[in-house]
Amino acid sequence: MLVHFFEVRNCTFESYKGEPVLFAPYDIDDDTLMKRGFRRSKEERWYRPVNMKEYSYIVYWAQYGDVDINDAASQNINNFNMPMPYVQRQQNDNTANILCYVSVGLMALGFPMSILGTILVGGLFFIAALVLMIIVRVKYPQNQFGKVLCIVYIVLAAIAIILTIAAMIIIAIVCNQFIQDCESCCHNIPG
Amino acid sequence: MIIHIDTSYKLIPPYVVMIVIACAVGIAMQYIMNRKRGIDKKIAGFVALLSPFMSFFFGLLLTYVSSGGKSFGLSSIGGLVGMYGSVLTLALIVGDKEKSRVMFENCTLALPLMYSVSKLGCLFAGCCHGRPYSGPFSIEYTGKVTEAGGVFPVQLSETVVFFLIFAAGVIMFAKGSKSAVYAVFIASAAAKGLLDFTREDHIGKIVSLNQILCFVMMIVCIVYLVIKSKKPAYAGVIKAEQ
Repeated sequence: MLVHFFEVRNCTFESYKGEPVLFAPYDIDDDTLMKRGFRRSKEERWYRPVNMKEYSYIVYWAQYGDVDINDAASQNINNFNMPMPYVQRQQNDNTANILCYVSVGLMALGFPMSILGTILVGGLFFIAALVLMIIVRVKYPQNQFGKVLCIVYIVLAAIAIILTIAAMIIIAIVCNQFIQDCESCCHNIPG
Repeated sequence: MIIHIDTSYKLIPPYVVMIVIACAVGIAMQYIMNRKRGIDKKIAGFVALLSPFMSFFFGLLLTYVSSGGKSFGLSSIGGLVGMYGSVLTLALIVGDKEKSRVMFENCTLALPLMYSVSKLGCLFAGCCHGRPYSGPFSIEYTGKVTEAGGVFPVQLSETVVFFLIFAAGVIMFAKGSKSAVYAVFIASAAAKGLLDFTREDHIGKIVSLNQILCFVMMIVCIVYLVIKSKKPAYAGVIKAEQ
């Protein structure tokens, strides 16, 4: 059985380091493979890990022969939802939620820490909160808390960028005004 | 030819404008290249989200540490560390060597463009200007920053040199040169280190902190290249065949 993954035809469906993957044939150019999410293994073979939905789709259609994965099939793959074992999903959600709570805590501490310490300490908390949110979004993409947190942080990041630019402009204007006032003051001193 | 620059401004300081444009251009360039080279939309987006904060943080941190905790300012090398820091963070989270390599390459290619644009801000603000100089293209500052005579156009030189490094790097990379990224990195570190000799701050110093950091970066890159060249390109295949 072969899998035709978009323009990467004749891929083999195998196991690599315990994970189901698609191995590309040798005659496909690197750019096409990278565009389609293939990675190079230590043995210089190009492979692409398949997610749970793709795995279920391939396993189901393999009984009828070669499997085609293309734009037309991608909608079917998304709807091809084999339920994840309950315990595994529960554990993933717990870990992701803990990371999200820690992230929210760090974000909440960021502002007071930048006032009590320096802006650098607050910045460190803010970056750590962002990194934890990214870990949740990458490792546990289905977690709802992570999704909400991502949107909230993007909005907060946009506000932070706008406020930082505004603060830099205000500081520059105040300094400029201060220097101009000093110059005019010094000019008026007799002698 | 003498260039006159008035550093006084009415409302919005040109320095802030150019720094913001530089960040936007660099991060947009990095995002586009990441997407073109097969990095997931989500990962490329997270790199773009994290990099302005990390570069701002490390930019401030370097000046804070180097001044002994006395002052804050934006350091370009700190910004560079922040840009690489954001890529490294995502590389560690994703845990994919191939994607990490692609992201590091794209970051290296975009950085000279970012630096080139940001130095226009320094040129208009008159900060980190050059030594006293009266030759062609010398700059005479008036307004907020007033110098007695002309100074060397170090910021303008950096803008031109780094744009040329960026353009050459992109052309080499587009033509399939595998050494383009390393060439860009080494050329950038060398240009930054050498042009630092022409700064006014450098008077009375043998080497500046920036030059030491540039030298360290060059050495690290060269050592990496030497180690890489000694390792057979198809070590994995040979091992598999054995």
